[in-house]
Amino acid sequence: MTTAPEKTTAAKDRPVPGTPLLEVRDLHVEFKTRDGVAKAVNGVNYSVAAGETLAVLGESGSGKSVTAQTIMGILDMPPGRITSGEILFRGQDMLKMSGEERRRIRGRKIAMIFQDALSSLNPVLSVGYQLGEMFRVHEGASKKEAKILITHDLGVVADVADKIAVMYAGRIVETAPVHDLYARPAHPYTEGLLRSIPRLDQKGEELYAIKGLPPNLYKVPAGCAFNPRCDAATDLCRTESPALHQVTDRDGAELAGRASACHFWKETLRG
Amino acid sequence: MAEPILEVRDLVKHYPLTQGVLFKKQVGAVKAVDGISFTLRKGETLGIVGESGCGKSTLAKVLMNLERATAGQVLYKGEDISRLSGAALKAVRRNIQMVFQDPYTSLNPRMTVGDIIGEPYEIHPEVAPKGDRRKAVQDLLDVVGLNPEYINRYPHQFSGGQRQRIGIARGLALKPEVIICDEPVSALDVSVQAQVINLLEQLQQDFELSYMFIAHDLSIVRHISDRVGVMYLGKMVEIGTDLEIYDHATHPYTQALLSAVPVPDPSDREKRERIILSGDIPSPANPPSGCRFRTRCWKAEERCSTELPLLAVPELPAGGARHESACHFAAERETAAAA
Repeated sequence: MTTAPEKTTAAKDRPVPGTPLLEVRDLHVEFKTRDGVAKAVNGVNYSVAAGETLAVLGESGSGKSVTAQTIMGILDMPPGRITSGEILFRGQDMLKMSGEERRRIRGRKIAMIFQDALSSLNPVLSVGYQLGEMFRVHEGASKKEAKILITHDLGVVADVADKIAVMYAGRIVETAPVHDLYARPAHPYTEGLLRSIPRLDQKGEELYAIKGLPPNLYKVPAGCAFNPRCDAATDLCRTESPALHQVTDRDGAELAGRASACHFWKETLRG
Repeated sequence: MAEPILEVRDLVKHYPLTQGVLFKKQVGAVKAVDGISFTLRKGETLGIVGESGCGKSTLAKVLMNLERATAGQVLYKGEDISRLSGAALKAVRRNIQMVFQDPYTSLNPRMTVGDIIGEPYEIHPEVAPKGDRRKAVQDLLDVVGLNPEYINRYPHQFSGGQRQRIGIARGLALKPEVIICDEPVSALDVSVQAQVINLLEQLQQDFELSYMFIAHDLSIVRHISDRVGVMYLGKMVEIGTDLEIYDHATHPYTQALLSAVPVPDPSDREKRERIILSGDIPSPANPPSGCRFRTRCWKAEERCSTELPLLAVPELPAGGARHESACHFAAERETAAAA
C-alpha cells in the first residue's frame, strides 16, 4: 500500500482526532404562528465526526427536520426563529458565518439526507440499500464528510448509521451507538418504536403499538413530553422534565455515547 | 380453502400513446398492467409488492372499476365485473371499497367527518336509510376507534393516524366484502402504523373482509398478508404464501427485493448479501422482449429474450418449490446464511 494519495488532502481539511466535524449546541428554534408559539427544537445537542454517520430518528413534531434545516441554513425565517444555540463546524459557529461560507461547508463537508415518510426514493428497491449506495459514493468523493441521516425508519438506521439520536417533541430523548440502541434501549419511546415494527417471528400476532398520538408542539405535556404515551409513567414523569442522563452500566461505569432523558432509564435499560 | 371472492384473469390495462394533434394516431401503448391473473379468497389478505411503476396502483384502479380494463376479466363471485356499467356496476361497487395512501389529501377538507363517512350512503341509500345515517356513522367511528362525538369535526382537526381511521370508516360504510388498501400506512408515523395495522386486522376478523394490501414495506406486507404477489413491469412474477415468498423465493427479482429490505437489526448488517440490480426499470411503453426482468437479471440467457416465462409452478428442482414463479430458471437462492 502506498501513502501517496494523502498528498492531495490539504492539511487544514484533515480531521483532528477527537474533534467533531459538526456540533450542535443547545439549539432552540421556535415557530410563531396564528396558533401560538411552537417550540420545535428545545435544547438539542449532537455532534458528528468526520467519516461518521449519525442518524437522527424521530416522528412528526420531533424537531428532527427543523434541526436539520437550521444546520443547512434552509429554515424558513419567519415563521421560524433561532432563539439560542450554536452550530459549530470545526469549532466555528456556522450561525455567524456569511451565507457563502456556509454554503461551501454544507455542500462539501456535510451530507444531510432527508428520508421523509413519503420518500422520493424508489419505494421498494430499497431505501436502506440506496442510502448505502449514496453514502458509498459520497465516501469515494470525500472521507472527511460527516453524514447525517434524518429519518423515521428503524430499518434504514440499522443499515447505515454509526450512532443515533432519537428525538421526541423537540428534544433528544436518547443517544447511543447503533448496536447498543437496538440491543438495549434506555428510553421507553425507543423501546416502544423497536417493539412496534413487524417482526417476522411474531407473524399473526397483534403488533405492539405505542398508544396515543405524536406530540402537539403547541401544547407539549408537562414533565416528560412522552408521559401520556408511556406505559411506565409515574407522577414524577408528569411533573418533572427529565434531564438527559449519562447512561452507565451496573458498576456505574459510563457507557460511551449513551444518554437517556428518562427518569427511569436504569429500569428501562435493565428491564 | 375459502371460496374465491375475486378472480383476476389475464387482466390488461394499456394506455394508448398518440401522435399528432388533429389526426391522432396511436403509436404505441404504456403497458401498465399486461396480463395478470390471481385469486383473492374470502377472508384472506393478498399483499402486492413491486417498485413504483410496476403497475400495482393501476391494478387497484382497474379492480375498483375506476379505470376500464383493456382486456381480461375480473370475476366477483364468478361474475365478470370488468365490463359492467350503470346500475349493475353501482351494485357491485358497493362490495369492493378502497383505502387510500394519503390521509392528508384523500379527505375533502370542507366536509365534516360525518359527511365524509356518510357520503357513500347518498349513492347507496339502501344500506342506511336517511333517518339511520347519523347513528350508522357514529357506529363506524366507534368501530375504527374514534370518538363518535367527533362526527361534526373537520379533517384538519385530526392527526394523520386519525385521518386514516376516517378513511377506513368510509371504506367500511357500505359493508363491503373486499377492501383494496393502497399503501394505507406509509404516510403515517411509525408509532401510529402499528395501531392502524392492528385495526385493519381486527376489522378483517370482525367483518370477514378480504384485503388486497398494496405496499412497499415488505415487513409490513409479510406481517399482514396470507399470500404475497410480486409485480414487475405490469406482470406478476411470483406469487405464494408469505413463507414461500419470503423464505423460499425462486424468482430473481423477488430475491433482489428481499435482499435489499432494511432490517431493523444492525448486528448482521456486514454479513448480509445484497443483490445489486444493474440499470433502471425499463419503460412500460417499451418493455424488453421475453422476460421483462432479463435486462437486470444476472441469470438471463438467450432463451429469456425470446421466450416469455409463464407464471407457473416450476417443474424442476427449484428446491421443491410448489408456488408459482415466472422464471425459466426459477430456483431458491443459496445464501451464506442458509449454507
